[in-house]
Amino acid sequence: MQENTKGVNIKSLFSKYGILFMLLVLILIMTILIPGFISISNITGILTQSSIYGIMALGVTFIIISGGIDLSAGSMVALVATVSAIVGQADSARKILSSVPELGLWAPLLTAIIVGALAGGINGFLIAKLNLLPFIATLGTYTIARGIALVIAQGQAISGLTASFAAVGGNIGIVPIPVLIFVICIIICSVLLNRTKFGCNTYSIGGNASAARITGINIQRNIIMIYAFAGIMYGIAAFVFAGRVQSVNAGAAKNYEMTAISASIIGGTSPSGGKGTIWGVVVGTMIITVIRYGLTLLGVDAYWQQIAEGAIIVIAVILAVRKKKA
Amino acid sequence: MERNMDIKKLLSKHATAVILIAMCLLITILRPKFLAPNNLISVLSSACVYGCMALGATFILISGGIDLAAGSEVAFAGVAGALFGQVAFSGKILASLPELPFIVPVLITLLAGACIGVINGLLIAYFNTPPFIITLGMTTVVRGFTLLLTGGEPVSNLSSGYSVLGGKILSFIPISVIIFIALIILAHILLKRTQFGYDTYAIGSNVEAARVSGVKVPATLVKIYGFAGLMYAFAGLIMTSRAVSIHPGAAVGYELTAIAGCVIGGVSPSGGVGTIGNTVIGTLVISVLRNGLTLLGVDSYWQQIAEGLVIVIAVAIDVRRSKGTK
Repeated sequence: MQENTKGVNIKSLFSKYGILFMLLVLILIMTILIPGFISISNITGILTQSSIYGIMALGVTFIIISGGIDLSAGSMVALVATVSAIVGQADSARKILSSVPELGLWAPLLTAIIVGALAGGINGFLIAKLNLLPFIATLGTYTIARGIALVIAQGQAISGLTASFAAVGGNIGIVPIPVLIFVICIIICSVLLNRTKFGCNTYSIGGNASAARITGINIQRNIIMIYAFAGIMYGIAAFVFAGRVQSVNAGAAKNYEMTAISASIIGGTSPSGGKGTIWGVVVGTMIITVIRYGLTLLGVDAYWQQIAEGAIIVIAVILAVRKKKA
Repeated sequence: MERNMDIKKLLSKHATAVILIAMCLLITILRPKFLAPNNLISVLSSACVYGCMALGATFILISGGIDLAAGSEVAFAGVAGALFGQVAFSGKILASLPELPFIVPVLITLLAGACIGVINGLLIAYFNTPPFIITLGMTTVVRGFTLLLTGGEPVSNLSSGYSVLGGKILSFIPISVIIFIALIILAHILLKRTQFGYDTYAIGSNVEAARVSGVKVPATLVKIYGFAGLMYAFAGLIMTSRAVSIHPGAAVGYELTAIAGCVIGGVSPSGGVGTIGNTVIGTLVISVLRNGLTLLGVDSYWQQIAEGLVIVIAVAIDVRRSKGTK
């Protein structure tokens, strides 16, 4: 009898933390195949590589939990990175008034957050107020945001960022700053999703929108807030992106939304809404990066890497569906 | 009064057609050469590739699904066929072998497209996975295989059959336009006059009801995705024959244009509603818009923004309309 409950416990533990287990197995396999896989430089490398689409995945997770989807994330990152890089150019202030000193790091960061929130808010407005399906609304803004980025940059790469902006791509001690920002975002999202009314509402809207309406949740306002918040996350991702590459191209971050959505879904966020956790998304992001990083170290060619990555999404979703049934 | 209502009803029922006619009028006034036969043919001819894709996507959308892998499938089918259509292909196997007849690469293309479609259908129907995510994974997998097949190089030096297919009849009407029109008729008959078409609508309106009334849901889904794959393959064939070569990176993002065409025309992305006529009109809206903006000398970045706006506006009008009829 006791053994039986123990068996069930292990089973439920496994189904709850299955992806964590999957990540550990992956790391184990990589460690066996690649001597010295677990080294400080590889770990910081993996974490740094995760940070940009990890931050995007955090934002998109709120949207998916609320029962929506966002195809525009990659275009938004390109748009925000372009705008914020223009503000963060060493000579940005002098263009307007020659006596103004160089702007501090706050300027591009603030720009990124505001532009991101506005762009996300527009998605939310289209979906909540005009009743467009999220898929279609963000398909439209996917094209529009990329177009605006191209118009602003006029096909030029924007470089010559201030020293402080370029330092965002660097390290403090051995900790890469992108990773630090990623961790801060994880904490903020975790608190927001689990400890606030906003997070609670996000789950209820995705779980059952009409029930949520009856219990008095202002759905329209919440949806706009959810998309605007996701926009802020894209803005921060774009800020980190600009700091890392230091030369922003309006064609940047293409298809990043797909990686972010995949990370979220692999991490256990239900594509039909109502379910998902922040730690799951972080693990999902790690799984994708460990695969990319490991396969590169193994010298697997890029085409096979692509196939492996797609196959893992397919398998993860099939497993998730099975789990739900059981 | 009643007549007034009738006109209103008629207008709202054919809102997209009205938009299309208005667009054509406006462009004609601004640039009379829009109506030149050559230009009209080029509008039709540029619609062929994503038009064929949209025909397939229509069935999928009506069934309540979505297919993000369409662009990759076009490239895969095109490449698979083109490899057999290379002038030197049979010589590679046996030096004395004559060139393969053109029907072989054509059949391989169609078969390759249908196969990938069937795989999508199997994954969705028998594993009960959400189409959005599965086809997102398949996008990467299929693109990876396409790149692998060609080593990332374009496939060129194709047999003369391809250049014939990419040419014109009576040195006026492109053969691709004739293929497109034939497929429109085929898709229309399938959707409106066969059991397969009825079942597609039934699944999209209410899966459970369809199941209860004896529709074989999984088998029909496989057929739907397989048929869509076949349409994508035709798009791949047209694309290859026009350039008499195909790049494994071709048609990236085309699925979004195809889906936009369907939705602008009035196919409901939530399933159950839509006709081939809707899709054709929606596809023409995109194609006329692109042509008109080019005639007006609008630069390509602004064109992209305009296209996104048209998607959002057309769908917003459509949402109002369907609300009105409810």
